Amino acid sequence: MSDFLSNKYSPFRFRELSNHILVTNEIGDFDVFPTDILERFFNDQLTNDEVNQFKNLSIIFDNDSKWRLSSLLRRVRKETESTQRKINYIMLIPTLRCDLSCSYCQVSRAPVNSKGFDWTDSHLAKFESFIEQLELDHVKIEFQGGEPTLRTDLLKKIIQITEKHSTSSEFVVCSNLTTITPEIEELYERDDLVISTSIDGSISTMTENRTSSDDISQQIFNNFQYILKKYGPSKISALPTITEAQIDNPKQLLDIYVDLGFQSIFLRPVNYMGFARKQHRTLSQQVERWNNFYTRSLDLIKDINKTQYFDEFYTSLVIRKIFSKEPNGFVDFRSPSRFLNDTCVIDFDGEIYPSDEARMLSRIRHIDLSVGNLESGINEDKLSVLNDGGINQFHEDCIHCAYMPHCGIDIIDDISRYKRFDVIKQETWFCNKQLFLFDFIFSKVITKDKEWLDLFLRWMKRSTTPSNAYDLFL
Amino acid sequence: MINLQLKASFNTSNEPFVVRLFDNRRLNEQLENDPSNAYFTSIKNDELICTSQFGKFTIYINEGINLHNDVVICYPTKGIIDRFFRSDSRHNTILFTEKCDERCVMCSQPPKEIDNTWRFPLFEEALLLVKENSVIGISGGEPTLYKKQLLDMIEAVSHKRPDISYHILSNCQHLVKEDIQRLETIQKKTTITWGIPLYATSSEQHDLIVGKPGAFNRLIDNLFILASTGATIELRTVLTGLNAVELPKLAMFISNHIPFISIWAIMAMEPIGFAKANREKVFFDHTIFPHPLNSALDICEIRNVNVTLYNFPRCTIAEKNRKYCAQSISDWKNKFIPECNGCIEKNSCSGFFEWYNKKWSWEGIQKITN
Amino acid sequence: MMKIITIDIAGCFIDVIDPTIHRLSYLYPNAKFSRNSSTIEIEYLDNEKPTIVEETIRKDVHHQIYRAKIYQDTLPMRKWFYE
Repeated sequence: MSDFLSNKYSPFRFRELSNHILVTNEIGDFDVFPTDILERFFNDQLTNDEVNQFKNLSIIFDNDSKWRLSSLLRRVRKETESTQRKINYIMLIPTLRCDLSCSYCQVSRAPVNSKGFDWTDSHLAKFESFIEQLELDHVKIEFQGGEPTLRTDLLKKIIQITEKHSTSSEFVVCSNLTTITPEIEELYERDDLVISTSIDGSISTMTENRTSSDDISQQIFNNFQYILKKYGPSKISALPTITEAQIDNPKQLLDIYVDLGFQSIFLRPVNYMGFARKQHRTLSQQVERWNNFYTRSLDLIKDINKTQYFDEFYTSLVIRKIFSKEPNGFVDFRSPSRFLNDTCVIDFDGEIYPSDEARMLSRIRHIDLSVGNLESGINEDKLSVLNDGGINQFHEDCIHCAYMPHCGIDIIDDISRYKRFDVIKQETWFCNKQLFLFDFIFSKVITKDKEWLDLFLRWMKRSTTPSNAYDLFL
Repeated sequence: MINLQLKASFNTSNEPFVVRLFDNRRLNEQLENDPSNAYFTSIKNDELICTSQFGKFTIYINEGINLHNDVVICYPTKGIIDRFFRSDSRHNTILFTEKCDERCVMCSQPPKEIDNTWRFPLFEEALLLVKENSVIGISGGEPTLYKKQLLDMIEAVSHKRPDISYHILSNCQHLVKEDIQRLETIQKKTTITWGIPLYATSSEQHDLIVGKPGAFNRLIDNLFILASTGATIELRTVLTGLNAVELPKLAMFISNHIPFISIWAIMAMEPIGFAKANREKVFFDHTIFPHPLNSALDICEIRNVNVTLYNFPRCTIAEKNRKYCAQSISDWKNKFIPECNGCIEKNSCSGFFEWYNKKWSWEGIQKITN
Repeated sequence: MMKIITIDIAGCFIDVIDPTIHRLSYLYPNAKFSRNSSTIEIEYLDNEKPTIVEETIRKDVHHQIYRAKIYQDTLPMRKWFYE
């Protein structure tokens, strides 16, 4: 370590934002400076206060505070060290069949009467051996599809097997909510099970995007209200997929979510995968249009917070990651990606994937990103190849970016759009979307925009109790 | 006021000696004659007559003191006994030395240049007699000024009494890398919690408060050393006028650089010792300026720093933050003032120090009614 | 119209001019970057899209120089962090 004390300074990055220079150190601690700071940094013309600021960021060292270097080392290593695999989240697709055909369906669904798209008894047996050797502690199983409730018998058996081979468990059923049979109701009654559904907007939007029938759309809303009344708001969550129908009218979408009693919404654009590629190609490419929609939505959400708690899932995730330093389990976003470290996806045919997006890419035969199957287990070699690419700390574009410590990487998204993940980052959807969001957040911090900072604090505390913990920002 | 020292007259040799006092009337407890015990039967005219292997001696007590199972160190030439271990108290602390290399502006136990080292063997002997599973505080001055003797004593006692655990208050200035192995060994045999003060996030501020240049950087360095031994660390910050405003920054600093502590104890100041002379500088009314404390507690909640409040009467803390108030830090407290009458939270409140007075009162003291 | 900008580079940054030019070349595919011993020269058509603004590209060049310098100076430490 003593070699590095004679180093003039530790690695840092900068970005011009809101008429200041934002500086971040290797672990993401940040501060702001005037726009001429870099010139003066390299010419030894910093003021005493500025020198102290750089020292507090552990960028400039002195001999008396060697501990700053040890602390930085410890924090960087903790963030990027390899960890033992401990699966705690399994998405599985017991059937690919679905009774709807949503325009953006990313999963290349199978028609409801087709054969060969469901798990068999053989799959169940192999699933049992597979999770037995995973030595699960607590595990969350999320049933996706197709429409998983077409096979409540399979869900029951999978639940039984999971309970047998884990210390504790919880379950999520992702359902289109067109139907609630007695068998489905029996599952919903479980205390350890919650429901996730898609609500894209009003009945007409649902009909346009998902059902092609106002009756079915109405039925979905009726079922939704039924569940809400019977089990309460913690039983069911919903997310929209933003298509042409909603992008110009964020207010309508948000009003519906507030009326339905939700306190959170996850705004995601229609994904450039599955059916989305064919029907909504132009939308996916329009970063600017999306960012515009997103800003308008956040503004509206800020207003909603005048009367109740309401957050946007992704922005609050990012805010908690940066300022609360909450660990990020979102495999689509973190760096190192650590694929298959805690999450795995098991398809209807027993193939194992590192993420849902990877599964969908493979389904449309874009590329085969499976990293194993229930029969033969995990293909560690192939997994390493993926994981080697899933790190931004050494990427030649990311290493210069002020947001690198807070950002992540999504090579699956890059592959889906550009067929490779060594594209210039600044030309990728992921980077542009992330940059926009980070600029948005940090501009509020730099300009000390109290209204926004109060909202960020609210999301960090997950409560409406006021706080003046502004030292979390600057 | 708790009396730790009692007058006594001795019919023994002049050498100091250690005994455990045993009330002979408790026949049902007595199993056999233990040579480390000094037995007493009657209390006559505030006199406790004791019989021990060292001879007879008489302790002069006030009514109401229960000495059964206390461990005492007897000083025949001085005519006094020290109550080393009070059996009816959960807060027994050894004043290991009165010397200190710091001069904290609010020090409640101002240092003295007194050589205490001759007492160390007596401490060790006395420790062997304390009640099972006791937690023994070790304080001063600065105990680690005699680091070798301190660790020797703890290690020696741990061989025979591994049930005893320790709470050592230290400024953490005197550790070196070479201590790591020894500390790891000791910590396998017995439990030690280190109570270590940190007042600010910069050497300018912290060194000023503790009156020792270089203290801050040395402290952080040594905290890392201590952490590498797997030690349990209770970080302590006394809230004073000199560091109150920056308390939120300290919360951030702890979260970023020393997250490995077990708990952060924010403490109200004791109005005694050096604090009295420095009152102008150090007095801080957190009921008039609640923001720094509330903000720091918020940061701890958001950043997942385990925090507790010591010595703050519950009424002076915002309701949402009262969950952090520890019941009591020592039995030097539990004094209540007239304003406390009728307060519904009196039973869970830490109350005030014995030496609390009007000059140090916080404006926001008010009984809680609902 | 063809525009040429010359930017003087201070002594301590001269050894990072080459990596800076490489990086700038792909960030500004419509401009041509070259160097002399202590200057960077930029050649571009000012009516071509995406539009290049002189003030912006000057600042960008300096910023890229700083980034290259930081990278070079701190590479050994970064290797140590991640070894």
